[in-house]
Amino acid sequence: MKKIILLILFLLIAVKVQAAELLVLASGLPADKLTTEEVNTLSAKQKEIYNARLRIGDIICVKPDGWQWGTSECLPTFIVIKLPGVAVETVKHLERPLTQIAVNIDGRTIKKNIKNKNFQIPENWIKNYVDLSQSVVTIKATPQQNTFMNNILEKTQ
Amino acid sequence: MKKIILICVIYLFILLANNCFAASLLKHTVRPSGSSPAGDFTTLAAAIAHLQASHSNLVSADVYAEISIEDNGHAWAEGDDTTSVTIDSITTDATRYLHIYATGNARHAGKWSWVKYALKLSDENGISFSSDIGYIRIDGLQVTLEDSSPPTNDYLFNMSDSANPCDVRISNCIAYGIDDDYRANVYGFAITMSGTPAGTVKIWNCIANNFRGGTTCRGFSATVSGTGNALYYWNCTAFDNHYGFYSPGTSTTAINCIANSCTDGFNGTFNSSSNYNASDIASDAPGANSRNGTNGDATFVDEAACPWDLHLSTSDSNAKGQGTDNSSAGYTTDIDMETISGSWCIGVDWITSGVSEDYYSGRGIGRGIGRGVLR
Repeated sequence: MKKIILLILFLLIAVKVQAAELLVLASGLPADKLTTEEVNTLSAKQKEIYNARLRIGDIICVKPDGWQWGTSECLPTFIVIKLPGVAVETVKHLERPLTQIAVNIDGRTIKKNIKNKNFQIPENWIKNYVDLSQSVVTIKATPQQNTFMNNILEKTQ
Repeated sequence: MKKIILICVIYLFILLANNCFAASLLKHTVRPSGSSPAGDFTTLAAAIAHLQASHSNLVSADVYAEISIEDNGHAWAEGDDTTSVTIDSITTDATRYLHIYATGNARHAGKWSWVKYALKLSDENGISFSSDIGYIRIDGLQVTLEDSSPPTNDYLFNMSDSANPCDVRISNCIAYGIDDDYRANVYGFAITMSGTPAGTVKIWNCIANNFRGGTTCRGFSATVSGTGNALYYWNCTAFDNHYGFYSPGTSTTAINCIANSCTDGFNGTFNSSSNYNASDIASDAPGANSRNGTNGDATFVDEAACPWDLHLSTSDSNAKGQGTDNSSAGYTTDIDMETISGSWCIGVDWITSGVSEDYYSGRGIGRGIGRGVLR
């Protein structure tokens, strides 16, 4: 009996340890306000940067449960989304940029950012959290968590 | 009397004008998770994202921005910062620039250290700065790659194209590659400049080591085109790379730089003002006063175990005191921030002829113990 209790306790601890926290951009960049006419006047280089820029909902970085965030890693710029039960390793890729292999002017291949972040939480969700002044949001275990994960947007070129 | 008062008034006006109209400082801190008090951010990527969202135009705000990476008594650990950093969408100019630096205990002591701030990537570019940010300074940072997946096309300090004009300064940084034979196109410092108006990129007291795995790997890589654009390497050390310094054009100048244990130390064409360099390969380093072959083979403190200690050994004679005074370039310290006096050395480290300066300096005592010079 003792062994079973110990096993249950161990499993509970193990489940609790496995968690990830996402730092998500909650504030837009000034470039978001450019009009279509203004965007059309940008040079090719500027357009690349404009298209690659960070957007509201972009996942800036992924850290393990219990990460002690900085004093400015909160609203108005960021929201922390906690995902209990999700291992960091399984969501670490969400912080990566979307890249493509391109050829530089000297002919060498380079890894070029198409989007500075590849994954984005829907903007309207983030705006809801901002309206509620929620700097920290915990998405509890299934099914809420499944819905959340399934709605993370993977950007395309 | 009136004249004196008038002169005083003009002087005061000039003084006030200089003070009133100088850009003010916008400073943010990055400290590891668990610091007390906490920093503003725990990763460099978050600090940059905050600037992009909230302070994207340093010029109109009339500020210069600093990102100070600190320790505050809570040491950085391997894997604390693993997020690739892209710096763009920030407007800068010559006096309202972005300055990123590691300071205090967060800053390496001239040798790779996992208890100092280090950005560790997994098959990604490290710190990339884009062609819309012209005025940026990076000082005292370490960047490396994980060895878990064979990386390709990863540039640790990466300027994929220059702003026009630009003034980019990278100093006292270490790019540490990994030894994996499956990788290709992995560079420590990759600088591409093109277009006009012309700009400059200055890299000094920086180390690129272990970019060895494939024949396309480079410690310091340059691609400079466009009239007047110029890239300078000063007092840099390339060690155990396929290419140490790679320059296909004449707009790249290398002075007081050393390439040792590379397959090709200095590849390509360098500006004719390049000089006082060293390579352990015959007829390799550019410049009439450069040292090559056995005369260019420096003795470092530790070349046996990776990560190496590329400070000059007190027994060295091929780099110690063999450089040229480059103080006119605007720096007078070595990678340890020790003030250079007397003869300059080749590479990142400065030691005096005969006895290591570290023997005497308080900071150097710790290093000296590590080197064995205080036994």
